[in-house]
Amino acid sequence: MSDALILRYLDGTATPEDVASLNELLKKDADARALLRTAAFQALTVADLRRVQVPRRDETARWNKWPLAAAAAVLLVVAAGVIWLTRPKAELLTVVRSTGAVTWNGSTLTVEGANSAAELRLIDGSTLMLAGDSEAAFSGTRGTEISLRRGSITVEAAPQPRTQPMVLRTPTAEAEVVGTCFTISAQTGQTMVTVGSGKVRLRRLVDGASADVAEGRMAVASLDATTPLESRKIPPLVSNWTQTFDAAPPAIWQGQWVPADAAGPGRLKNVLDVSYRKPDGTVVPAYVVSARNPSAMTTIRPDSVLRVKWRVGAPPVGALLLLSVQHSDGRFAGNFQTLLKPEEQAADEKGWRTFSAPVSSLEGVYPAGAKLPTVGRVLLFFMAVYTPKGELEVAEVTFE
Amino acid sequence: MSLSQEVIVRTLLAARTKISTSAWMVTRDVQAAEDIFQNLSVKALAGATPFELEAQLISWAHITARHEALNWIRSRKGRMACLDEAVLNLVAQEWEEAPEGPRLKALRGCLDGLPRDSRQILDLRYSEERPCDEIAKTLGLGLEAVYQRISRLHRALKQCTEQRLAT
Repeated sequence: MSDALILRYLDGTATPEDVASLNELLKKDADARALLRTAAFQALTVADLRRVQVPRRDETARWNKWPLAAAAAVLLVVAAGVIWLTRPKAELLTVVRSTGAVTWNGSTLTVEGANSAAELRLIDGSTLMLAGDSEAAFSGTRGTEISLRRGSITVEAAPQPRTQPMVLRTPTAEAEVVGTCFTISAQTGQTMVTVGSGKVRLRRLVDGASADVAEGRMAVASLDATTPLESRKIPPLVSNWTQTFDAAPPAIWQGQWVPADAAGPGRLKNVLDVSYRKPDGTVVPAYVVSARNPSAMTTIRPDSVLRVKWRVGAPPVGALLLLSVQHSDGRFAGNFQTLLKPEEQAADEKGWRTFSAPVSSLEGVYPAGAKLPTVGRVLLFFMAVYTPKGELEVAEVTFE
Repeated sequence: MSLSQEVIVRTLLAARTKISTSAWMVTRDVQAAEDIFQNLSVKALAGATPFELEAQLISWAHITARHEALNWIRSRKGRMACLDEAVLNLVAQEWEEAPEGPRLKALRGCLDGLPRDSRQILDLRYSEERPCDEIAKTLGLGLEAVYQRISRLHRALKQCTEQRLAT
């Protein structure tokens, strides 16, 4: 009886009633107290041994901030004595790979530019993908207390300790994770969660309302507490998808809208964005038209055809076309791109060209050699030129 | 006369696992317990509390570890039920005063002698900090069976440790 209570308590699964019973037991029973001490001492010894036996690669000394400040004051005096205190501890996370402008300052990861992305791995094996203009801060002993300040993050969470699950916070909501694959995006005034597998508990910060969001469902938490916080089935995505610009496009689009005129149909004209940063921090700009939807725009198969009506200034320059694709369960599949060469596509009298090709003709560039999934979901459509005089315009994007 | 910083370091080191255990019994999180030990070590070295006796330092360290751990639990917003502070005090009062070094050495020897599957279950539970229900799924066992096996392992290790210390 005492063994079971103690183990449930140490496992974090004891109910308040269990803990009350254990309190009473421990007050009276010295053997039970000895067992608790013994089990706890053995537990820490086992954990310590494993850390010594399996040092992590790239380990560096890590201190919490305030002890570091305090230590600095006394370090000169007791330098020899406190060396042991700085024994290696794992970094909060590893940037597995990245593309575009990605910076990490030790606690905050910033991804700038529509087609920039970074894949991270936390100490517990969870993997995260930050993409587009996103910023997230990582704290907690495992880096699993994550503040998504803006943008979107896709999480493949390793099974989490029940006592300390991964928690993602945005300005409007908090999501508690057990072991799951999901995407969370923080937009102005609202947070959207879509769950590919597993389950996420979403809490709306404005009133504390919460909802469990299960596999295949989504929920939006906003600052509006008058509507119930509910999960709903993720709407099925169409496989034939067209965007024209005769009317102003939805907010997912990046670009300057130009209504139809004598020069052509309604269109989006490129805007300046960050492409990547050089090692010295210098920003390399790109002139971009893009659309990013964290809950995806359309489904594609490798034989789906992508058609884009586009135009550049004179002299014509090549344009980069890139798609960011995820698997149907929400895992990141890769970035796929091709270079549109003006000389390979005839222009009409107003300079408009049409690119049309199966999406399988795009090259998997991130990660290198990435393969399109049998059924994928397009998160990002991105086109860019890299000269200010490129004057990229896009009038239509179609997947069919 | 206050303890020198060298003595403080040596004393805390010699009781590190026990002090961390005081914190872990509350947090049940290895990394948090280790952070708490680091924090209180720095506090002790900073000299805000003068210690004249090693026993006084150890007592202070256990109390501070428990308080820091309780604060850590409170910061979890009530996600974990915790033992009463009075009970935790009682549990901590009964730590044996003998240095932990020989006990650690004996325990490590016992752990080395465990069958592979027994060591695996302890590693899953305490090194990887996986909850018992997950271990049950991983090993294809029932939850109660996992509790029983871990419980038996704790008792067997205790007995083995005592035997090694006695010889």
